[in-house]
Amino acid sequence: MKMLPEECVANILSFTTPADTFSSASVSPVFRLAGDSDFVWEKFLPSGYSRLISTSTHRNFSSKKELYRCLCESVLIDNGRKIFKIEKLSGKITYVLSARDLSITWSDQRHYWSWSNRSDSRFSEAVQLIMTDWLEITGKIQTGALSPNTSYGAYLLMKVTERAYGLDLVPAETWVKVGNGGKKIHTSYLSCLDDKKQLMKRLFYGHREQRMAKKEPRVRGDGWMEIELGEFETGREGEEHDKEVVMSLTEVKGYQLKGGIVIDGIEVRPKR
Amino acid sequence: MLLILSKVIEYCKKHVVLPDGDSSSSSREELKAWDAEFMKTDQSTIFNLILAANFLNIKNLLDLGCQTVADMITENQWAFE
Repeated sequence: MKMLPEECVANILSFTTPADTFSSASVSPVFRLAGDSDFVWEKFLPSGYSRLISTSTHRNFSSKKELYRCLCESVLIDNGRKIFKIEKLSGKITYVLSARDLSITWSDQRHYWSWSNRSDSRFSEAVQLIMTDWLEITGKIQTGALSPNTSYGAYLLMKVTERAYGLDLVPAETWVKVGNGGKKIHTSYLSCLDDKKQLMKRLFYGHREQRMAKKEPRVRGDGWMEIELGEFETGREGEEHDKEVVMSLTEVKGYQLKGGIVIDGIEVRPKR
Repeated sequence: MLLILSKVIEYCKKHVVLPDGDSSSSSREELKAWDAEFMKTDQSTIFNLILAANFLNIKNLLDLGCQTVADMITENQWAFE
């Protein structure tokens, strides 16, 4: 392999993955040089990256590799309404839509929802539910903004406050719809049942374990929880035109009042 | 080197593009299968094909050779010599 010139090695690396390119740097000086070249990282950068960079930061980048590394940290775009990020090893795109970027029914009414700047939020503001009987949250994204040929999952980023109420009685319905496709509806509870209530449910339902069949929010590593709304696939690059993905969570069947849920946004990330 | 040159010529003959824009008699799937067979050879021949394609500026052959090596790297089959 050492007899191949750098541009050939760079061409080879450009057909592999960012992960392989990072790890091949220790093979030989030629690999390290080729692995640093703009030719390789230009291929790994998502298409349309120049437009994203120009609107979010005015930094000058000395190389495409440096630009790639920068995009691996979260970048605020669209006037702070969205976060863009690429996964370091795969180069796949992740988006986080802020609560402001979502459509939350009645969120403009301050008796029902309260917007505030929270230190634990990834955006400038998050929204907390004060009281409602009609919970409906919807987010939209274009498949063209994401990586092609990828399975994606949509997750509602949320927290439950100590004085929350009405969240664990009726499960919410979640669904994801791509273009004119059908929607598969899933259900999930909005909060995790505490141990006492879990015991009561198990006593009531016996071995049928009704509770286990329904999903609950999952704890994340960043202090928030997430509810999976659904999953979808992006098509091949250029093969089909851009489609709109609609992701939604509703809890409108229970007539009880609910409150105490905090929404930070919806994360759209590749599934393993 | 003579072997490499003859392989390059063999590749180019297979991938000739006719004046009216149609590719040669084979369909795309057939060409892909032929390419895969063509690349089933030893490491040193693959290297030399890459070098030759790079020198002669034959982009399709260069990309085919590089993609073959890349696939082996990704599948951890490549033992670096």
